[in-house]
Amino acid sequence: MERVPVRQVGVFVLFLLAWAATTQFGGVSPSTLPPVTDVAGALLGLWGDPAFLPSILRTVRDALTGLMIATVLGIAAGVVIGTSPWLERSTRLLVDFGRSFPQIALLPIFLIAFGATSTMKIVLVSIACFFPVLLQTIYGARRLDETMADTVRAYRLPMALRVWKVTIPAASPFIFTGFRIALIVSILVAIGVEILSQVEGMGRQLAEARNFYRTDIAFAYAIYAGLLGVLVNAAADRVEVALLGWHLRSQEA
Amino acid sequence: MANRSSRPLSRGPIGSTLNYFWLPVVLIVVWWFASAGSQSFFLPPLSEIVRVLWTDLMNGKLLRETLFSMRNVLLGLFIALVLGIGFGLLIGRNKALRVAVWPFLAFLRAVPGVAVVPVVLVAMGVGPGPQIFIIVFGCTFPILLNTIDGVRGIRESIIDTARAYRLPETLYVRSVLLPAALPQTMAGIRISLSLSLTLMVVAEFSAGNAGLGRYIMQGQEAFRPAQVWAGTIYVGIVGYLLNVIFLFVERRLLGWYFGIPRRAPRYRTAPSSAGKAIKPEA
Amino acid sequence: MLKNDPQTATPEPVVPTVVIENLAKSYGAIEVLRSLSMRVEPGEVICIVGPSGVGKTTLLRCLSGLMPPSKGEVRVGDDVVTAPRPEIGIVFQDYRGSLMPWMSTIENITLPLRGKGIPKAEGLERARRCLEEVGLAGNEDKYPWELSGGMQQRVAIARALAYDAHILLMDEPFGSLDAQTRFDLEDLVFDLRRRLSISVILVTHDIDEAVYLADRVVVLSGQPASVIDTVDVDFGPDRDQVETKSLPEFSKLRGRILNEIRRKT
Repeated sequence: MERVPVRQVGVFVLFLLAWAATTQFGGVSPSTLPPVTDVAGALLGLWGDPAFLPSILRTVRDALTGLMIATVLGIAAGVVIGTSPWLERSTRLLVDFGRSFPQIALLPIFLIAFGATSTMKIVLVSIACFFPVLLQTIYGARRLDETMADTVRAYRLPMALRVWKVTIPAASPFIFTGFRIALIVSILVAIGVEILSQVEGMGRQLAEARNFYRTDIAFAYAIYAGLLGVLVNAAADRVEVALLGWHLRSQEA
Repeated sequence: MANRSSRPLSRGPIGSTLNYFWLPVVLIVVWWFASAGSQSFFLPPLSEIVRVLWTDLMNGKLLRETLFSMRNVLLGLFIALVLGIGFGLLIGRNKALRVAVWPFLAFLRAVPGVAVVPVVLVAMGVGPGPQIFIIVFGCTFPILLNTIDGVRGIRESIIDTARAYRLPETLYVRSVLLPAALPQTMAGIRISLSLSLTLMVVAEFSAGNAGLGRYIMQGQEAFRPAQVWAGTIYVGIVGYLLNVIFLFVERRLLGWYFGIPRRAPRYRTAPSSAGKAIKPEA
Repeated sequence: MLKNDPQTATPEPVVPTVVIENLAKSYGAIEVLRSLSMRVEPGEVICIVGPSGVGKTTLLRCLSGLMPPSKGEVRVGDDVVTAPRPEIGIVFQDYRGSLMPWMSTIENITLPLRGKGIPKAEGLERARRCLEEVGLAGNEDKYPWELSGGMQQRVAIARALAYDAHILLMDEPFGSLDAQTRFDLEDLVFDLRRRLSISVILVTHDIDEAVYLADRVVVLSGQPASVIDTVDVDFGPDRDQVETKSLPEFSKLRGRILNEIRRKT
């Protein structure tokens, strides 16, 4: 097991060398592929840039806000739709359409409607995050409905109790899966909006760097965006184990 | 004697179709009439939007842009498929390789495809080439990672069986590895499908002079919100149709996974004429 | 059918003898099997019994070439087993896992034949005949999920037969099936052995099954496992689920084996 990091480090070093070789000997212009050293310098140098941290915080804040709104609405709508077969059928076309829609395409409409503001970004993020949560909640609620309907009916539980104490907890693994997908989507859409519309955030910094042909800084921001994604994913893993340990254990049984 | 009215209307074939369509139809109708007299700039009447949509469909403009965009998307997806499945099978089978490359992949997949767009556009300029590159970059990872998961999840006994019967490599990959990983791979392909559309739209919003994204941008620049709406709705329809096609293909390929019987048997089931015993009676 | 008729006389297939010599297997520091030796003569049915977890599956994996032994060797005929061999067909315990779910019955059976390079038409013909042998004629186009557990195991057996295996290795093949199906399949194996002159090495934890089917029962026990007894079973070539199992000799053998297993654990 101690050999493992060596191999991974080896792959990483190989990659860096390939990159260095390409910029050194490949005749590639620095605005296309900046040398490793430049990007490394930018990665470190950004910490000295007063706009750096605020931009990250901005992106994260807006993404999470949109995510929270979408989660609440998604779970609520998902539970309602999931527990009523009639409603599920009625909304299926709409939900399918919404989920296959590239939500960023709404940006031009939103721009002329709301202007280039953070609010607009949050609304777009919410819409994009709504669907994964909604779909997974519907799925979870429907599964539960089918298997537990008889038991629940036999005990004549009142609707509110049933939903709060039975439906939601039992569907929570699926809801959480939806949340995780939405988490990734939230950052993606937030950055996407920032790049395209120059709203405050990491994406805007990236686009600005690009406009000034500072590709090394643009690369650095892209890399940080990736690291953010990895961090967020790792955090979600921890939360999943903490909240849903029971589910994972019962799956193995 | 049961009379017609005793069977609920919603149960018949007409009833269930109605169930699916009534809400969308009602919403569209409401939208149509609610927006009819709209004076607002960014919310034109639905009738206006439909008119623009129809006009540009008929004069071939939308078709041209669709062809351009879709060509890039499909080409990009195809390359992503080949790379994703090819490397996915390779990495999935080889534990040492997988362990070495994993953190790398995890990081690359976390880089938002959309963040790559401006970088690539500056690096490679504008046009179908960079667009395809963007789609390949973004869409390879879901397919790759899902294929790796699919290979890892293959039951031990299937692999043992293939080994015990000494299946040669090409037969093994073609008839065992690939189909076994396919359900998981398809899940990745589905993700890549919608991702490809998003990336296409973002790339075309950023730069370029053709494609559906460009069509929408044109509407914005020319202060024609109806065109913006029309283009956006059209993109939505294209996305929806792609999804429908995908689901259809998935059901055909993965019939065995979902337990769907094949319709026509491929082999004649006539009784063997060579006699019953393999070896003659002593 | 005349014996010396040139049209019907076919050369008897040579079923090789399986010799296991001082077989031992360890996983790192843990010794699982210690110095096992036995012979399987052509056409014999050997049943290996032992308590759960003793290492029966490990033994079978070594026999089949899927796993190399730590010490000693397995010989099939004159060749040492280092990798899976064409004479050996294997039927696994997990019937859900060994048939390819995306292939129909006939495709599953012809898959190893395609690997062997056998032309398609001949492969199909062989497959169809073997399906008949196991009593599943007509099920060529069914998919595994459309078949019951017992039927799937039959397909697995047909596949081993079509592969022209002279030696059938079976790892608790009927363990996950209900009693009635199990009896049917036990009789099938017995019948196949008689008609097709194959050797069968069957691993099971079911002592009744072992005594019923075997010419010899090998009792494995202890930690690490070794052969603690070899029991000759002399019920002859005609056995019946009801009659054979009610013979006093049957109970005696069963009791003897059970005691031996219990004694060691």
